[in-house]
Amino acid sequence: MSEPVFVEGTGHVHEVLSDYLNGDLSDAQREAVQAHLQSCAACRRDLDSLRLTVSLVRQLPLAPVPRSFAISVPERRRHAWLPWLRLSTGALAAVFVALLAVRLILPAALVEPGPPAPAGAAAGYAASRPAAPTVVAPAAVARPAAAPATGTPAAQTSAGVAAAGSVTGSASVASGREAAVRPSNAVPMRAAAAAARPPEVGATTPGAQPAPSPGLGAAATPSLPTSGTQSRPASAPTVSARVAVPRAAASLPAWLTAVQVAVGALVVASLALLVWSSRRL
Amino acid sequence: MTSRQRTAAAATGPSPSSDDGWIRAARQGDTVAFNHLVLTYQELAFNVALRLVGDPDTAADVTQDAFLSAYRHLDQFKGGSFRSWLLRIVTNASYDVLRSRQHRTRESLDVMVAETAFDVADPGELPETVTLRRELAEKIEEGLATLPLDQRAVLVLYDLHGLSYDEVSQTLGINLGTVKSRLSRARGRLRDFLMQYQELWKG
Repeated sequence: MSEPVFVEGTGHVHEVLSDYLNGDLSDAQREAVQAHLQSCAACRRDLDSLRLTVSLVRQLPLAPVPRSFAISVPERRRHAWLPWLRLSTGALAAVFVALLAVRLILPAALVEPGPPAPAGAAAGYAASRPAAPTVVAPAAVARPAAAPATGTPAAQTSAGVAAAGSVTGSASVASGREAAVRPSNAVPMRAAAAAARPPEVGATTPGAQPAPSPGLGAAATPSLPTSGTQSRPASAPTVSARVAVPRAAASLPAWLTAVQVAVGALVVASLALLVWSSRRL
Repeated sequence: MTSRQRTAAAATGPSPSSDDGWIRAARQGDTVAFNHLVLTYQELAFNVALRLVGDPDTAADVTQDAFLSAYRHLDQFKGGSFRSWLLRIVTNASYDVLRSRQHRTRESLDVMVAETAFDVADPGELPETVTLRRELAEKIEEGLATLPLDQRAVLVLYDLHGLSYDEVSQTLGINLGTVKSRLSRARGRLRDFLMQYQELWKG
């Protein structure tokens, strides 16, 4: 740089002494500074103190490292819990499948004894009865709408909650309800039942997505262990899911489904964690 | 300065070219190779962090984090001075720590380096001289701690550790003119602080 070294007409060189010490000035500038220093005590003192300060700083001792900062392989730490995660995910998945099997088999097993149910469900049914006719219609309407969405966990859950949630109670309610509304709503209910069924079936046999039509009943019927209007626990789920009918004697299946949902959620979460950890490693 | 002590200016590390082999291997995930680099630069990294954050424990955390981060982001090192690249991580981490801390008074930032950097006396040294030297070192460190962070960083890197203008510029991400002006102000400020204790260095 070729600017003058004297700052703001003061005639002194304080500002450039640091550069001067570093040897950054051009030859011309350095000579100008030296010439000034010869006659200026103030700037000489300035230079001396600056020089001393710099040398003192340069003589500061090093602080020793308190420990080694060598790194250990971070991945190993992650791997520590990875096998456990895989194992628990597998176990959870197995539990989920087992619960699913139970849920599918249980309705069939419980439907056989059928008859006692209607009497027992009379109380609960009576409560739901007034709402049943109006409910069935929207249920029938809602069913086809729900059918396309069977792929979603929500539909499966509602179907699952329906079927597994209250097999005994819903069976009784269903039979009771069906008895009441059969005259006018037999077909839609059956369609609704059939529509409700496939979502469950779809859970085990992927791809069996139902189309909202009576033909569905025919298609779904073969897959049901016992055909017949009495054995439509699935339809009850629809209504019970919509109306929140008090499930009379449905103790076991209710929490069974809840547990299954929880396990399913855990499986999903574990899988997500596995995927995330494999990306990070 | 005793012959046994290493000055901070000595902690500059080997020439850049000798790092290349380790860096190449470390990029493949070879942690043993990376730890060779750690061994080379940890003293420098720790001392820079120490001067910036003030206390040894925080400085140790910052240093460890910086090395881990350097290992993970080795692919971002495009060549040039590994030392500058590493120190950039260290200084940024130090700034982050200081920013996240509640503002501490200058007094509490009393650097404890004078205690950590125990001076080993030369056999022939008088006890008075050792004491005086330690007191002087403490005063210098005290003065360093009073400097604004950006000035302190430049002084520490350039005067204390002997980095070149270029490396200081790369490390701090500032241009040459800024390096020089901050250096000038830092030196003047430290000098003014030390002027109060002239009796310490007149001896």
